[in-house]
Amino acid sequence: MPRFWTGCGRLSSAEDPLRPPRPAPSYPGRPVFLARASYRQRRLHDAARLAPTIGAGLWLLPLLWPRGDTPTSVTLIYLFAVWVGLTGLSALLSRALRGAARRPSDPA
Amino acid sequence: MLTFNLLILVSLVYVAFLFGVAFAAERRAASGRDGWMRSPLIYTLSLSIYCTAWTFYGAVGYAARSGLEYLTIYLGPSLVMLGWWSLLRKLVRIGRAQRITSIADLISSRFGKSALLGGIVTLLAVVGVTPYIALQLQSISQSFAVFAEAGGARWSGLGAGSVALWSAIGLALFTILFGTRNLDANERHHGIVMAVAVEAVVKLGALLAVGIFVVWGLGGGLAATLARIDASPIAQWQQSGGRWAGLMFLSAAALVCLPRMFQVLVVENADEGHLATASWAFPLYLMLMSLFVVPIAVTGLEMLPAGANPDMFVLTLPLSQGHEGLAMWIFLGGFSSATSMVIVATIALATMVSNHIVVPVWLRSRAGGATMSGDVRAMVLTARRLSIVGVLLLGYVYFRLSGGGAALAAIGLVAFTGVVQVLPAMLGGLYWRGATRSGAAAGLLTGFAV
Repeated sequence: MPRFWTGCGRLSSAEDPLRPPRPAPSYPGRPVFLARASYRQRRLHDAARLAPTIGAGLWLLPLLWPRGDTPTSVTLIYLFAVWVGLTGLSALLSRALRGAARRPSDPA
Repeated sequence: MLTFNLLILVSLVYVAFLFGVAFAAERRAASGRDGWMRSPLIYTLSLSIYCTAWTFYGAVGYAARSGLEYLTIYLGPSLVMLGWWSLLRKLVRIGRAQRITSIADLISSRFGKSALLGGIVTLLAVVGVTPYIALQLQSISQSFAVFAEAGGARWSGLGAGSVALWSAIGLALFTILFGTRNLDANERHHGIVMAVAVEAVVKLGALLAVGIFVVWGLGGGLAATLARIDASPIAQWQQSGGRWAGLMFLSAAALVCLPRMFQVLVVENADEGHLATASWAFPLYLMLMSLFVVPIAVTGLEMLPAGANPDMFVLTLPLSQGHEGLAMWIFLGGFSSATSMVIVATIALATMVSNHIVVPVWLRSRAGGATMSGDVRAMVLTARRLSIVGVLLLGYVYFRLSGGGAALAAIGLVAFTGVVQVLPAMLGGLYWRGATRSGAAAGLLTGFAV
């Protein structure tokens, strides 16, 4: 898999006129030796575990707001906005997780 | 004017329709053509038995009494569904691998098939759920009472009791018919799940309809409704932090610990992938259910006379405006949410009672043990039918004894707290290898006593 070694050689294609130009690496800045599929899957699992914690935090946040000062309607809109956001996030996550589970994992 | 007899006729037709749906679903399942019945959509809709009559009528009353606190009951379960990857997936896997049939079965088998633990959990569940069933019967009879009063009829306590009694008898019949048709190791009930899914659509539609009617029909649009909320008695955000966080945790725990939720979530689950869909669809359902609660509560507080029961605002608001068709639909929605909860809760409890109390006692009383398999099979089915009748009878007796006076939400919370005692033992059984049988039993009994 040659693309894992791009960037490690002394001469890049831009410096060496004899070599044909190579396609640019698609994920610059990533650790080069990680299998992308399983790496992505692990980060997805992390995200799935983190999601309820984030949700709980966001829903507990109104407790810090000044009592007696905040109108109910504002709180109501905030809580439902978080709800919609979390539902959307969950839809994206569950689709990605299911897709990742179907793909065969990278042997590397 | 909507007559009382018409109301009874409509509810009977509706019940007959549900019988038909359940029957058709059973037949399709028996002939193997049940592909779409096992879809994630049906699974998510069947989860909606979390929203009982407590949600349908009680949430508005709760909001009218203590503002936004009612939302915690729906935020908690949404968080659990969001976290399906960590907890629910494991629960469903264990449930499938070990053929778990109930929450008592789960706990006893996680601790080496301890019969003692199974019995304790069953008792706990019966004690915790009985008031909950009583609550549903109460809401059915209350909603009948609202119509009777609107029709000018005299409504006595005797009438309320007989409505509750007839509902309980009808429910027992339905549950026995479709819940104990056959003895299956998986304990799946296609007919009931299908009927519950239909009821889920009816109740969501009814609540959305009354919400739209209140916001755009009575309130004059979104901005006017928000202004009305800020002018109402619940205008200020004055939530106690402990109650907010505590109730959120309680309801989150109840989602996995309630016997009926365990039944639909784990036992009736046909495919782990359905959980992925439910992880966003179920929070969405809960959100839609609670979306219009505050506008309804506020409008009810403003428009109805001061003594009106806020638990019945959903029904009395359209009635007071003369929209009888809408009121009828809402009545059916409330009826649906009460009946579907009672049916599934009764099945879950009856499974537990027959497996963890009746059968062990029976086997012990016959020293020879079971020699023929057909013998036990008939016995278990009879035990289950009797347990169904027993559970519903208990609920009815509780309803009569409590007099139907307490607010809906308060009874619901008591039931939640009773059932959540199971949570530590369950989580211990799932994740902690060092957990012991006696430790779990001691923990359960302590929680029970408190």
